[in-house]
Amino acid sequence: MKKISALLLGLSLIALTSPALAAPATGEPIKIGDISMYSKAPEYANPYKMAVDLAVSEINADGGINGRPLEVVSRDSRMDPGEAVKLAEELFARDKVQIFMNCDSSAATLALSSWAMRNKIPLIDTNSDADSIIWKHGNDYVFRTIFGGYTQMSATIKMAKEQHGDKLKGKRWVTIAPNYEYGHSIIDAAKLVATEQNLDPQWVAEQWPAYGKLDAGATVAALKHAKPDVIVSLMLNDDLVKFVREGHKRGLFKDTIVISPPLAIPEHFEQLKNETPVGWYSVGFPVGEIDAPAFVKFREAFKVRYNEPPSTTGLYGYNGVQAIAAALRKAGSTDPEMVRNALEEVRFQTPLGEQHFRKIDRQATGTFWVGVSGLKGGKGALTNWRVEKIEDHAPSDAWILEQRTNANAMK
Amino acid sequence: MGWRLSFFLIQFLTGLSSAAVLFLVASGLSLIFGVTRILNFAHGSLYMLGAFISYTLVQHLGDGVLGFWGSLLLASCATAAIGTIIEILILRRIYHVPELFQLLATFALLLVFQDITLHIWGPEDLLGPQAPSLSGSIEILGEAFPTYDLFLIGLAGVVITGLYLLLFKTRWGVLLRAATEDREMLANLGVNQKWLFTSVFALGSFLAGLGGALQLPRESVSLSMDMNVIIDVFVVIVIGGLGSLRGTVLSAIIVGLVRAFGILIFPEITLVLLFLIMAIVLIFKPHGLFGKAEDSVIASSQLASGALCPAPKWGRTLAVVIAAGLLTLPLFVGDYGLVLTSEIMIWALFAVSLHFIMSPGGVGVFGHALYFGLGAYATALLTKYLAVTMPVALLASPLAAILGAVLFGWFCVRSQGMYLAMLTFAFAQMVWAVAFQWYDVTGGDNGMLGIWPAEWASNKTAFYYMTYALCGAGILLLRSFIFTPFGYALRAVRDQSKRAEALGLNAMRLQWIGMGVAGAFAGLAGSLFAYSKGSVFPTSLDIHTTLNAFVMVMIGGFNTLTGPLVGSVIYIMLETEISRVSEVWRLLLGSIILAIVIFFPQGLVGAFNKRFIKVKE
Repeated sequence: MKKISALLLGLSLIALTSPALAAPATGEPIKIGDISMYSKAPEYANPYKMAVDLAVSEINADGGINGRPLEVVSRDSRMDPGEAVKLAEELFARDKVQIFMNCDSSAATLALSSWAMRNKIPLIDTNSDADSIIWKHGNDYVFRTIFGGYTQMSATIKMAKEQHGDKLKGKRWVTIAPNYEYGHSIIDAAKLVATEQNLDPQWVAEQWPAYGKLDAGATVAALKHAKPDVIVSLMLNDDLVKFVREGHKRGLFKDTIVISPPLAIPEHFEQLKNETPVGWYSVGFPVGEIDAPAFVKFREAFKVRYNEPPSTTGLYGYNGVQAIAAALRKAGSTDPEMVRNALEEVRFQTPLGEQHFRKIDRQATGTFWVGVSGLKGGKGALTNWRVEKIEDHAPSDAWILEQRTNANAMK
Repeated sequence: MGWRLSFFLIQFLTGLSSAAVLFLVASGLSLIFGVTRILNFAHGSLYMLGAFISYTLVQHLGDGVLGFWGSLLLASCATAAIGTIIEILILRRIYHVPELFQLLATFALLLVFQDITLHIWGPEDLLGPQAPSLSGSIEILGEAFPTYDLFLIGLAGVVITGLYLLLFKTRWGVLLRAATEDREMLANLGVNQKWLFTSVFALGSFLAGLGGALQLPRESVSLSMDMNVIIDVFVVIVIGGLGSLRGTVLSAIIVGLVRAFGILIFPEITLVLLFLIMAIVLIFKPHGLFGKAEDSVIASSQLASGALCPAPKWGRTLAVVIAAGLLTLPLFVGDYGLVLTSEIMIWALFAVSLHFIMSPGGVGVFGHALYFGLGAYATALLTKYLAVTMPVALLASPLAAILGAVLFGWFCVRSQGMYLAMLTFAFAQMVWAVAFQWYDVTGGDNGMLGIWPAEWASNKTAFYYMTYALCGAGILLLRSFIFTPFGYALRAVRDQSKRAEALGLNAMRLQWIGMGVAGAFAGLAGSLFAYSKGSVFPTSLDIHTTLNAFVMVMIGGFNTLTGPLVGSVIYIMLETEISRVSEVWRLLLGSIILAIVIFFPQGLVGAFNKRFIKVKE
């Protein structure tokens, strides 16, 4: 009964929202290559794919791109940069795919972006938090819909500063981050931000466990030994769970301020359940509480189709397809160079409102949510959250330009 | 900053508690190795299964005292049962195949279990409950220390005592020790070894399952548990000496402590540290701390033996036809076909170099990716930091690989059998860890990007011809080496090392040079691989790269010369076609390896030769 009513609701929603006259697209499909971490991180990649499929079917039902439907050709990168490049080569040479998007690790995305630049093919990155994708190693063919580590650090540290005021000044800071691009680039950002916000930090210890291989007991003891006041943590997934459990037992979090942008995503709450640490400054995705009309429409359409709410990766994948569709319409062609030019100019509609890619670094504009972690009904949740703008948390244009010029000089 | 006593003590206990878990898992593996002489990769799978099964049981039995500990115990028993089934169905069939085949077969099992576990439990990490009444911590000299870690240390003590009593105070223990000492003598005395082996396997699997189940309160249960633990555990039992319980205890403690304190001093090279200890121990104690030279080896360590003949006339004609066909390939296929064929040729060169060192060279290496990766990284580093041109890098990469082979080979040829395999594995893992963790130089697992071929070789056809020329020349050269006096000497050393030495051949030096030769061509393949992808990643050094080449050689057959070529074509085609459409690639790959080891050890070309060609004796 519930299913039927959901179905009816869905049908009526579709009937209400789709323009009455649009006929489904029937022409030769326009292919979008998608190379994502399906087998290595399906908990992130599958919801991303679901949202991408939703976007594509909405666009196709609405007449496609000038009568041609979109078609997503998905491949599994196994989170392996070499494999990602190989698959891109294959899709490009054999299947004639001329535009790519992905939801992958920053390492795989960097490899793909280097390939994209060489072959002059646009790539939409929907998942890398590492800012080197658009700055240090940025190039003119890579566009990013998700926001990066600098933005996350800037917003969380700002919130912590507001809460603790001058008490945050001149403190002992420690960092713990996985030893790869993601960790290094966001810890760099944290150091930059803390100095920019005049916090006068002393960096007293850092730990760089290999991703997925955290030796929790010894690492937590080592951090505690440094007597930190502030902990910047980029622990993810299994490492996060170990870190939280061990940290609690060993009293690491007692009387410390923890800044951990990646903590408050629904995937982590799902894992940590009632052991979610309370009071950590984080960026999140309070999917059930957002009430912007465009977002509600997206959320309900997703629920009707999949019987679950969309995830973070889903949102940015959905936005990616919107950007591609808008650019294809504007370009009136599938020629990669024309599509790339169109991507630079185009304004596209997303559940978060109208967005565009900043000219300077091809980062999408938009909003995100920052708050502190808490517990609601025996499960983790982002509490006291507020909406922030990506544009308000970016380094100066001069700094970005310098980074990107260096990147291009090196090539 | 100074280390206070309390902190020192805490870190010491932390090290001991990680040693406790390592010991539980490693002791099972060591016992199994002692009697069966099989180094079982699938031990990691059993550990992982123990964790998954206990997670599921806890969901049903509840996380009270009875439910929690009952689940752990039941899960360990279930794992023991699974281990027993594996032993009866599969391992019994491979006790007599060469040891490297055994290693591969158990790795294949690990791959199969990865996919099975994925399909039963799904991809998400699962978080189990804390242990009832052990979830808190106690104060030690003013520092909090988890009670559960103390419990683990105590439990390891109990298990050590239990194992000691079992080994030295029961008849079963006497039999087990006798089997470890001299299996044939035991068989002659009328002891049914079959069931002795099975029971040891059950015990070892129980301990692995217990080790996994005990992780429930510490970490979430995930699909990467198997590989993470098995590599650590290999290091532990190799350091301790294969089959020695004392050694396992001691080396688990060493590894646990070095890790706990290493993190303080070298937070970024934790992975390298582990393999470094292993290499150092093996250099000074080639059989580990308490290991003995393997004198009663039931498995034959030779992968290949006997004569090798130059190709017959029709074979040469066929080779020329194929070579000519490849030369005209760009006329018939598009860019993608050329990319794929280039990749096959690169892998074929790598596979042939592995075949060279293992089959005619008689050195059972298990880390050939080391040279492939050295070549690839040499290319990338030279391009990035010295901006050398492609021809220079192509020349320098084999040299870098030779340098590696000279350095590592010197240690390797001094050991034998499983220790040699493990030493080569350790070196490969060590270099992998350096590439993976030395972020500032190698970019860590970002790899190194932008390693594109020179302008003149950048279009697909030009690159194809270059690959064709270099790989073709490499393969022919390696093949011709086999029929030079050097090649004959290598085979003499392999087949009759004592006689060869009596004739004045320096076995170690010959094998050392052999490793250099094989390494050089693997390095060339690695360099070409880097250019073909435009990038280099630590995966080029990891165990999967070694494994790929291994499987190629196995498909073709170890005791043939054309085997590796046929194998690489089949393998790359299979991988490209199947891994795209199938979600069970690991299951399939594992099954292929198992099938070859059990039913078809001579490989395709080997079988063909046996059926159609009478080799002149």
